[in-house]
Amino acid sequence: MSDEPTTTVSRREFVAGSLAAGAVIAGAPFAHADDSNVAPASELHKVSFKINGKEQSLQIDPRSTLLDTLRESLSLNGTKKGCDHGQCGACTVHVDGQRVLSCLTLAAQVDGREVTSVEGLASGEDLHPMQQAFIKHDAFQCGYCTSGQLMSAVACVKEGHCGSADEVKEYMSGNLCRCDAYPNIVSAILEVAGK
Amino acid sequence: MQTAVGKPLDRVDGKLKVTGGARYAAEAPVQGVAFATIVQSTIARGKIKSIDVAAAKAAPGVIDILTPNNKPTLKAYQPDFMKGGMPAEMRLPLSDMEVNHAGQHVAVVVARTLEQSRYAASLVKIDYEAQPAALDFNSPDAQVKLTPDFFGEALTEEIGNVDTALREVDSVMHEAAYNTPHESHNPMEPSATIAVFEGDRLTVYDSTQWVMGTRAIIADSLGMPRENVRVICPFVGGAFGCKGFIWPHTILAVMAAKQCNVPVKLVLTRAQMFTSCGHRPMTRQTISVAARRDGTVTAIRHVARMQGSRVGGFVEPCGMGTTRAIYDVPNLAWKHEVVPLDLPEPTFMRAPGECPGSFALESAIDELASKLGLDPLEIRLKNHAKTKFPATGLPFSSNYLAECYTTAAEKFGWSKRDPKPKSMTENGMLIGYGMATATFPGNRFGGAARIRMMNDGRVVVSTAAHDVGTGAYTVLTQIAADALGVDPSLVKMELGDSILPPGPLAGGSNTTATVSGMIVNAAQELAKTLGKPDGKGDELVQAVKATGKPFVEAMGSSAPGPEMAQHAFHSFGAHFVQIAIDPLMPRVQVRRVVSMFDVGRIINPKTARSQGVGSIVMGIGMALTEQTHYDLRTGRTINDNLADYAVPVNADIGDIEVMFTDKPDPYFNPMGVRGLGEIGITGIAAAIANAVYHATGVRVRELPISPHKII
Repeated sequence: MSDEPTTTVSRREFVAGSLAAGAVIAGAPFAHADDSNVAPASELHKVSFKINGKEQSLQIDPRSTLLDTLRESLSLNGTKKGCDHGQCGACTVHVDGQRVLSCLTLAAQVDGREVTSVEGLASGEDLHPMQQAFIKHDAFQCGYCTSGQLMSAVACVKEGHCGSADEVKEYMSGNLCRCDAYPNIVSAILEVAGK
Repeated sequence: MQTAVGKPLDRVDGKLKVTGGARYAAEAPVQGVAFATIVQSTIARGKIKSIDVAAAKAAPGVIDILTPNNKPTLKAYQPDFMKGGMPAEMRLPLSDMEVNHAGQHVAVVVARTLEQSRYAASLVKIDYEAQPAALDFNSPDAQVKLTPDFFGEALTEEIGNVDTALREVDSVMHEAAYNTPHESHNPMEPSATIAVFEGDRLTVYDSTQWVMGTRAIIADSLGMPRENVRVICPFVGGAFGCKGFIWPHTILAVMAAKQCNVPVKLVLTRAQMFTSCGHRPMTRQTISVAARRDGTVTAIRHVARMQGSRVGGFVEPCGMGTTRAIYDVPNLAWKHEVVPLDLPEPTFMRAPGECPGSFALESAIDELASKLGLDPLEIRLKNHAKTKFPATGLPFSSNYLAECYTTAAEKFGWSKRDPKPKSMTENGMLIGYGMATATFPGNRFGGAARIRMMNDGRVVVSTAAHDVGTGAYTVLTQIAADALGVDPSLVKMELGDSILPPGPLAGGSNTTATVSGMIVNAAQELAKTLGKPDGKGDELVQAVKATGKPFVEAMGSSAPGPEMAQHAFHSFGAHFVQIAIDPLMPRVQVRRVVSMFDVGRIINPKTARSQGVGSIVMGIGMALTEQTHYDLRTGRTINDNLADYAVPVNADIGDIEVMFTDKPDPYFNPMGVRGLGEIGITGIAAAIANAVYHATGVRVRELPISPHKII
């Protein structure tokens, strides 16, 4: 687990997840400042990763989280910041196919890896079946937790945690929804999982 | 003709929301935006002695640091849209060295990047002279203030003679105090503002339920003409009241942009959300209620006391939509007392007043029924107001509460309830059945909408109202489609921008009730403009084509009228809940909820059901886990995060069934809708507390119902 980014876990287990992330952070190289206008280039950190199938190379502030890098440097605003503490799941993305909390992941940690955000779920105009099911089952209201819910939902199916409604609820409990669309989220996931 | 109203249309903004394409306030693409980080006070009351910004200013990337010593001077604003105090913090940010609550904004750092801004903010050193703070709501020394009215209605009043009725010989009396804690809205999207000056114009991207009000306050406090300020908010990532009125951080972002001469982005952290944009205040409510032996309720007194602050005028109107509204009782009294403390200003939170108020009243009615040996459903069927609004005597425009009680009871299986507490078990678990009434006023405000019909048949409908996740984009699309006789796929709804015709704030569940009238009127105006006053659909499109212009447009407005003096407009509903409690570890599991609401016509059964389910789930959180702890010694938030402030998670939620009477209100507005965003959260905590009593014999009069209160 120590060299893997933290996966989304239920809130009950989140403390353990945070500790795992901490271990990774401690091993990451440090430099300083991410803006060449205001900091020497030597203090920036080069990171290359694949985002939604596209190679991306960036000079970043080593303090930048994957979440802030997606939102502020790459204008990929689909991934949301709800708490910045790994407690709400709104920032969930996939790293090498696993669900990961991008607010607890430094951008430097995804060097050489493959990141998928909500913008990478659809194939062109064709929505991913999970996106279609979310619309059909009205599995969101304000939409702010939706990207994270979708990324967790797709992972939940892939992980094989869709045996029953109760199992889906358990494995989706790391993603908060304050509009409380929970029953509709479960219906959408069960439909995609073929239950 | 096929009608769109009444169909379970998928959300028209659904594709944007599932693809990450919906842009929330912090996501507006603004070139060269700088990042602001707020420094907040760590004391609850006192003075700032000094602020040392030297180290912070020297940090890489810092543009400037605003403090009370160097901030631009703004004019104190006098809102022309609210009598009395604002239900939000009125003090302009950084206006002096006084500290009125922990978490007050005392400085803001602006830097090139988010990381630089956050780091530099950690270097600002503030020296305080702390003074003793009043923080304990239950202190015997607490000062109390009375506020006369709430939107023009008396907050303290008596009808009949309550004391005499309570003392009536041969009647049964129940009196108890019910307590609800501070609660925080915690929408998933933290409040955010981007402020951009271009010459004498200002554009503000703000997460708000009220672009028009935000525009007015920003313009007035800067001394700018209102038309030079534009506030944009097409999507709100949840709000529940905490984005209803302007809060100091929005003004702070504007001040920073002005001072630094760069566009500025300011996003509150989750922790800052607990002190910067309101909360539901702690309440202590004493209910006295009496009934004759036959179950006729003769008197109710509702005395509500709630936390207030030093910087705003909010009152939680606990008795207004509850004791004044639900029961047909000749002797009624309600009173509201505010205890101003050195805590953040509270504000509206989903069903303000009705939500904590219904916990008190609907628990008390259950206790009275128990004393009388009556079924909780029976006492409600016997006493609920059927034809006239109790506080005013005005006839209800429509009221199908009796149908809600009986239909939901049957669907739930209420008749299977053994009335004795602790009598029902299943596999070693104690089972409890509980019920309560839901209540919320029908609110309608005024505004204008514009309809533009293109010569190819497409339609754009525009008004500065909001979709805070409720489904307004979708239901208003359906209403416009039917008003014009076109397919909803041809209608584009524009909301959340102050350059559009003025629309209402998203509050009081008013949006559909208000905007539907505006749209219906605009559609009639358009038809008249085209010389086809009775025309619909293709006839109108042909008329547009015949003008030779690319489009024709018309405005329509609507506002409440004389009907307000003739009828009372009020929604009601009934909740039935089944809970299970392990007697060894008495954590409450809400297994099943069946609720039915009478909210007028249902425009879209799919989004309406979602609103009902969502508000019930939020009510389950209120009943069982939610509580904001402000430290009694420091005034600081103890649980300022989403792990320690426990909102419901998916695994907490059982089966929820929501039904509607779907009977159009005959007098309220052209569509007969009364709004449904809030009613679902009212009564649910009482229904759960009543079920806990039924399961265990323990009456919990203090929320949240944590296990230690049941043992």
